[in-house]
Amino acid sequence: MSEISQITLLKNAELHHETYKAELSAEEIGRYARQLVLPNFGVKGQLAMRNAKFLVVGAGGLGCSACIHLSGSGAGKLTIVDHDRIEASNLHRQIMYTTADIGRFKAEVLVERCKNSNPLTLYPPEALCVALTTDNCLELVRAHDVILDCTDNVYARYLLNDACVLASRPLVSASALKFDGQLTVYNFRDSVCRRCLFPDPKILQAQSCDDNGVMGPVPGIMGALQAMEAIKVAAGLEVTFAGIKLHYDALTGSFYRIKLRPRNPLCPLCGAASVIRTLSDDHLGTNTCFSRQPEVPGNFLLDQDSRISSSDLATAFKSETVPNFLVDVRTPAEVQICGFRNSLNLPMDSLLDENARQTVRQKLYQKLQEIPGCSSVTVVCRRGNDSQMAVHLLRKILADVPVILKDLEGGLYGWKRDVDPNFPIY
Amino acid sequence: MDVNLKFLALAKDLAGTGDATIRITAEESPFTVGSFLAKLIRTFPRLGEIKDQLILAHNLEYLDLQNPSASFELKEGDEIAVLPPVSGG
Repeated sequence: MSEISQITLLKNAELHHETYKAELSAEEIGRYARQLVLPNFGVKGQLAMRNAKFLVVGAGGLGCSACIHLSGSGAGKLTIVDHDRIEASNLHRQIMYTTADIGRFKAEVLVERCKNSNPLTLYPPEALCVALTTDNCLELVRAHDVILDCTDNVYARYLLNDACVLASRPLVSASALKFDGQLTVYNFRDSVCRRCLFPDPKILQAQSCDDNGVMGPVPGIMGALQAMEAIKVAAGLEVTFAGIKLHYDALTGSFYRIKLRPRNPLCPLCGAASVIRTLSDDHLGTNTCFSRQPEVPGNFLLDQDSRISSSDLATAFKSETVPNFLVDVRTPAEVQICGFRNSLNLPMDSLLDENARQTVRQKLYQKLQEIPGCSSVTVVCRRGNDSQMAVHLLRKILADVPVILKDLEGGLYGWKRDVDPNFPIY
Repeated sequence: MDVNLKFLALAKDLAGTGDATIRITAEESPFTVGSFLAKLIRTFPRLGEIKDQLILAHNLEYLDLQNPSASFELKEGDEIAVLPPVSGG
């Protein structure tokens, strides 16, 4: 044998000694292949994901999208908190749920879907079907590394923000309403917390509970962005939206990145002289809804004489003895969904707008003239709250007209309950 | 000079438009954060309903409304974005 062939043989023997692989199972390597090959993420990122514990609060539109991405990407531990149950009106945007899931706990179903999507996670995902409170929040936050705020109300958002600052955890927060979405990572290293921007949640709570609706894809998009930022936090990649607020306007297809302020030294929570040291409802305001009530002082609720029940209205419709017409104060979009024929649509906004009042007055006069002898007007809304406020406003606008103004008690919901069970609600 | 305004989310509904320009006279400039907000509300009165809930950004950089006396320089073609925090989920 020549010298050269001997060397070749020796080398081949060395090369055949053994194989190697990263600290991941063959199954894991197969499953995560498409992200493992990315140089910015790779094995290091995958191992970091496996070791990371994610807390997701809210299993709605944001939570569905965020959780399925986190579990798919190999989140070691995923805890999902939500005490709500699935309703039909959730399904257009809460993409992990099906019609058969209606009535079940969201967190429970979402955990099932995550387990089915990825059974290889270090721990099985866990559902907590309870409300987030000042009693359980801090402990939950401390038990996790990255917190995702997928909630839908100001109270829960501040509760999480406070807990994340107190426990030194980053908070990946997103929101979605109508055609708009926002995303910010709070309290990551020296980035701002929510209270640096708006110290007092009570100011924001005054606006938070309108039934504004939301386009299905918006929370899905924002939840996916949230998962991406949470993965970057866990994997040690540069976190884009710490100190930056992303605003997505779906109608114009625009994304805005707004550079936020540095930490506020006067912040009541993370500032030098912080006054908030514990989780307390004193600092958090309320988690019940305020309805807007500008310029109607004090209690705007009507007394019983100023209200008409659904069944009395149904009787009045049949008898037609008292000329009457209906004013519907819902938005034009809502009026297109369902309602009473021949009613006059005067949206709440137009009653509240000083500049629109003259037009409102003209429309009412015209309608009154069309119905000779009309002595009564019934105001209708969806649930019977706005209609009460509208009666107050209309009494001012029609002060000089001898007409009886009442509202339909319970609104369209009441009508469905007491008169027509087939009437749609939304 | 003209400054571009970009209204987002609820601010868009209350202003009645997504985009607008606002004319600034030489005497008005430089603005303080507070005096600019006051001018915005004079021009778009319904923004007053959310005056405590707004973020203002000058060329995509945050203006600190908690420090209303801070002044800032506006140039022709600058953009002020007006947006409230969105809360739904």
